[in-house]
Amino acid sequence: MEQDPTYFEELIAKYFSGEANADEISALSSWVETDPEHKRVFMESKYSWMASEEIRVAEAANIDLEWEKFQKRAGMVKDHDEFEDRFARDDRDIELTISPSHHLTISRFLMRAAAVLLILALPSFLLFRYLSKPVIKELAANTGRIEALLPDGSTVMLNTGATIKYPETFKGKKRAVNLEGEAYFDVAHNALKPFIISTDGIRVEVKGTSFYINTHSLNGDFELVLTTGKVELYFENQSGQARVLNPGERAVIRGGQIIINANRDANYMAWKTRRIAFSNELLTSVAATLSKVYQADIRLTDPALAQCRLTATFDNQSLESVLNVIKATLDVNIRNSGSLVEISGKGCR
Amino acid sequence: MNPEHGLSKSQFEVLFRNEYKGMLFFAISYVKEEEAAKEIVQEAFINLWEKRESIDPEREVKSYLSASVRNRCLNFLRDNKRFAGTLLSLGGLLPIPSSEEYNQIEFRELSRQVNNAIEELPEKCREVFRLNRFEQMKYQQIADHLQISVKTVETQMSKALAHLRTRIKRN
Repeated sequence: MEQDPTYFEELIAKYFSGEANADEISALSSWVETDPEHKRVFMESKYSWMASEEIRVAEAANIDLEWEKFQKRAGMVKDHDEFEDRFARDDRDIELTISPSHHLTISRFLMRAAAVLLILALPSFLLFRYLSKPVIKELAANTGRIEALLPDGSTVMLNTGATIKYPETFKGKKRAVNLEGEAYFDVAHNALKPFIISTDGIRVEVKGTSFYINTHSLNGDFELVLTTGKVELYFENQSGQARVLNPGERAVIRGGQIIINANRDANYMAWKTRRIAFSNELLTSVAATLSKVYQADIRLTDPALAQCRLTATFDNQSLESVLNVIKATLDVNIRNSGSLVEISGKGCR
Repeated sequence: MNPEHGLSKSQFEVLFRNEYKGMLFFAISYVKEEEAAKEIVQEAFINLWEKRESIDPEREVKSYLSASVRNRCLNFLRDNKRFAGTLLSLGGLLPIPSSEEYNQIEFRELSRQVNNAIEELPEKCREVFRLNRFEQMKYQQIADHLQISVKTVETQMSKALAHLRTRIKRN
């Protein structure tokens, strides 16, 4: 079908504005390919579109602010970093300053004063260096889940038992944190400063994304499920052999191997959302999921129960009411003594 | 520091203020990301500052700076694999800056062309274009804001772009 040429002019503008849908993009794409003249129009439109965007950004830049930023980073402004750098670099220069042969004109008194000052100053320099080392914060979810805001605006939800260590501010080229246990990260995008999670010789490198991570899952494996974005997973000192994870994929590290496949556990986020869905799920796996979500020890005492299957959805329910549902649907007995829950019965058939 | 060679702080500030926007434009035309481009330009100036004592202020500074920005951009693109998938996958359409070295005159000239072209648009057309490009409003938001139909927004946007296309010349 022949379309009005202004239709495609409109599509081009829509496309660059991010307003075109998939059908329109593919229509535009074939229009561009059918005729070199169309391609020329498209290319010129693209050039002027981008030029206007790039000019706009450049002209809108606040030079005073950028100059201020530059001065701080270049150490032109007397701030802590410069102080520290100078001390670190110029240890030898300090000795030179008090060497008498270089200061023949200075009176004895002044020289002694300089020496005294130096001796007094040195420990405080050291103290200053010590104090200006990055302060490492440690956050442990001992009694329940906690959510924390990291210095770069990323958030992390720690499940009970998890611990995270991170610097008070992320200096340098990386955002490095250390994790033990189970957590969900929502990482702020910063392409120039990768976010790296380290745990037991394993590294997860992130470029603005959200994912679930468990450094010690029930069977002792490292486990990672990616929700959005992109992460790279590698062993310490082997970043050249990184494995890339796509959204919806689950990585497990077992026997020194990184295994990646599609995530089949619909409840991997249940400890955070408290929403659990079982669809014809084996009771053993139900018990494992509930144990994780409710931080309880749920056991099947009769082997026959392993074949029972459950289909049910729980939205923010207490463990007790979940257990009541199971009891009613599967005709089992449940004994709940605090943290230990025992499920018994004749089995299902 | 030997004043015969290298740049003083005040000389450097003048250089920074004169060259910053041009360098930012240069970096954005490569990496297409404002924050990354700003970071790259800052790093290039820092690097230049650290080398200020060995640089001849009359001759090498600008070419050194533009080469530094360009290399950082290419590294960024390599590390972030941004060449593919940014726009329509119509092979080779990405306008990567072709000149080996950034040219300040090019930036000023292009800036002038773009601003003139926008000024020349009919008032309503310019308003729609401005809201979309500078205020980052979606078509629907513009339609609501100006009490016109989305279809009219589409027409005005394509008119504006067609005009820009005829007025902004590629070198």
